[in-house]
Amino acid sequence: MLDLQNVTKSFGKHVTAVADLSLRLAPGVVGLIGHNGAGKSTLMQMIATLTGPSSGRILFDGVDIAIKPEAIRRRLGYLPQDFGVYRNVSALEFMQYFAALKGVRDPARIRRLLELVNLHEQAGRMASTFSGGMLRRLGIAQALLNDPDVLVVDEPTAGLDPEERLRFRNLLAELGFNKLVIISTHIVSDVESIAGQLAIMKSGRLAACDTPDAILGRARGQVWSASVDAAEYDVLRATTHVLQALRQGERIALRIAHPTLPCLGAQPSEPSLEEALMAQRYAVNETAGAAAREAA
Amino acid sequence: MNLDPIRTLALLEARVRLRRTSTLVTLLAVIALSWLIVPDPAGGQTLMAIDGARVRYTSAMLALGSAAQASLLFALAGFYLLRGRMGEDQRSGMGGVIGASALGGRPFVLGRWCGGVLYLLALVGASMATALACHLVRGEGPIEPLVYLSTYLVVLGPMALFTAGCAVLWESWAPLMGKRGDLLYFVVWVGQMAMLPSATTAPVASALPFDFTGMSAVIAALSAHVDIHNMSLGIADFDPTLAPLTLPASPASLWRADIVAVRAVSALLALVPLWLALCLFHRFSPDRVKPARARARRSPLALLNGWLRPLARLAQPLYRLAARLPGSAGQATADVALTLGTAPTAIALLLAAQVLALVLPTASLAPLVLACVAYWGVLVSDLPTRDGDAGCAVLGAAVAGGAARRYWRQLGAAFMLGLMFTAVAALRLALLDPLRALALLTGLFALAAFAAMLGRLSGSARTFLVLFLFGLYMGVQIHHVPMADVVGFHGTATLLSVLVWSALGAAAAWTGHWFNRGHAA
Repeated sequence: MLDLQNVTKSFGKHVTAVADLSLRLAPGVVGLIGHNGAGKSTLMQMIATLTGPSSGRILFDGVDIAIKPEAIRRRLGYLPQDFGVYRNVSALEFMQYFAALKGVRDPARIRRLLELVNLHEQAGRMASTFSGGMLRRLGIAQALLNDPDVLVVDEPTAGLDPEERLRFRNLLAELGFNKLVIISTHIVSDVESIAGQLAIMKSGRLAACDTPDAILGRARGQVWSASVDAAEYDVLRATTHVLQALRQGERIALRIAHPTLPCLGAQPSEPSLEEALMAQRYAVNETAGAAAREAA
Repeated sequence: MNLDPIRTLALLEARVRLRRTSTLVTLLAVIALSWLIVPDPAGGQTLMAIDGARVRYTSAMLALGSAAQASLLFALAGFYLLRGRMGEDQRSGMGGVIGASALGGRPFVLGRWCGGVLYLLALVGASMATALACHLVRGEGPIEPLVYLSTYLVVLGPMALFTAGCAVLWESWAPLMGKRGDLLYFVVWVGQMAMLPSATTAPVASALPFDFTGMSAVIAALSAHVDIHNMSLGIADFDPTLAPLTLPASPASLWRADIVAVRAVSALLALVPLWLALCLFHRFSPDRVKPARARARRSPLALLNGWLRPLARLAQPLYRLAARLPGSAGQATADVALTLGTAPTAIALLLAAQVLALVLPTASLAPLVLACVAYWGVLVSDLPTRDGDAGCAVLGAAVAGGAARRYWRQLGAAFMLGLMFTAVAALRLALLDPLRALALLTGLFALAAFAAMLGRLSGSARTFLVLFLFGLYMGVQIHHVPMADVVGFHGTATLLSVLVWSALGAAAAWTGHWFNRGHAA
């Protein structure tokens, strides 16, 4: 469905936001994970045709969207990380406006979508008075107006309370049954239960792309739990990747990501997806570091 | 009082403003105007003519002419260029940080004011540099730096103090914030212009203390040496057979002591807005200055829009029509619907304009058209920047056509709205005077194109708003110049002026498009 081939995006001579990224995506929920500044948003903007790649191609059903952006725009829904609403516009008018921009002729669809995101009772209310969660739900309703095949959602749960977050997550999971839903986030819990595929970005590059199970499987044996005293903790903090530290009386309970036994008494532990990703990124760093040392 | 924070704030303010595109646009406008108003006498036109004789391009003449022109423009544009920083602080959340900091309110306001004055002085400096360049090319006589400096100081000094003071006051006191404050300042500026006739009708022309623009001082200075009752200032025709006149060369003889004294009083009075700002500064307290949406609800215009809210339903059919129309036409119609839906007052005025255009006698159509164009200009001034201001720029760029088409649809929407406001009047005018109706159409197109281009170039609605209001004022005052009759108000537009405005509109539209392509969201 969406085929990214050696995509690079540079700003000037010195800043490369996305570097030689290749990725093939089919319908389902895809979690795009990475640090702040990893290049996720730039990649999302390229997929949403807001900006073009400096080199490489993004093919949507075989059509290069940098050359023919209209090929995807009519089948695209996009919810950016930050967006606002016009002043003095009700939720219904906001939807009507974007329906008109997208050429959506069925007024009943607006009503259905407002019901889907549970805003139908607030349709006449000024959108500028909505809470953060309501705004994001309005945003997703707007993104779904043209019944898109590709839904690009950037940091969908930023600023939402736990209840809104759960509701939003379930909504995206349902949409992913028959559409390609790309969710960019640095909050792993947003995607761990709904994403069929995780693409991990690091410094503009694709560090890994796999199913959550495969990522968890690769991390097994690399995550350890241990109970140490303060002196040992200082040593471990300097030599290993400490994922979690919790003081328990005189001792400190640790969870550590390390390819081998990090200290005496450490026990292999079942990793969470977040820990698995931390371990994987740690491994990537180590490999890159080793490669650099070898090259030197 | 510790002066370090004030100095730091002032320098930062000046730097931030100087980096803006709107500053560049204004500077280019000043440079272009400076060259335009100092025409080559060989072409039969001059900056000043008295009883048909031209006045030599000496330092005194060029300094007075360029300072007067700079003061007219900067007293208006300067305010809009300075305005908006506290609004930015508020929107970005930095207002709360500033309010909670140890910095006192008075040093903060003083720092902002000093920054504003510095910024205006930088613009004035650029204007003087342009005047000096004009002097080098077209001057008659040596460059007298003291004449230039004294003239600019006397004419533009109080203007800079007053304009920066108003900008700070308008930002510091919640009731003056927003678009209605913008319009109120325009009234203040027009009020100063309205005082000028009293300066010229007095037996001995004198400077007026409440004229901060300095125009009355320029008139008073000139009246000591020439007959200002038969004077043409600007692009004036002259009789080449008459001997040219010369203004005195020294600052002392150019500026009488009484004029300088009045300007000193003006400078003191110009500090009143600053003093008020220091007293009224809200310090970003939520009790005194609300977030934008809450504030809007309390403003008279917002209240009126609230009362007229049922009229917004009249825009609903436009949304349905927009969804059925293909491509840019549909999207432009959606923008028209959104503009009317968000400002029900516009719908009420639109309906009233149609009724009046039908019932008024033909002679009254021109003032009606002018009123419609004035309201329309204010209404569409923020249309090209609306998406960005509302945080919807990215949403709008991801729909069919992307950011490139958005530019054209917004231009189209502005033009469509202009047609909607003036259509009936234009049709009646077309029966009476087709050229006048044509001028109205091309004028609306050109203004819509300039709104779109300036909005895209500067990222601010105020750049167009200030130039539009300035141009509107000048257009009403100038009766016999076809090019000044942009929308056919006076009926002096010619086929050539109509063609020129069409070409200018097309050039502006393509300039904006070219810039938009390079800076698409």
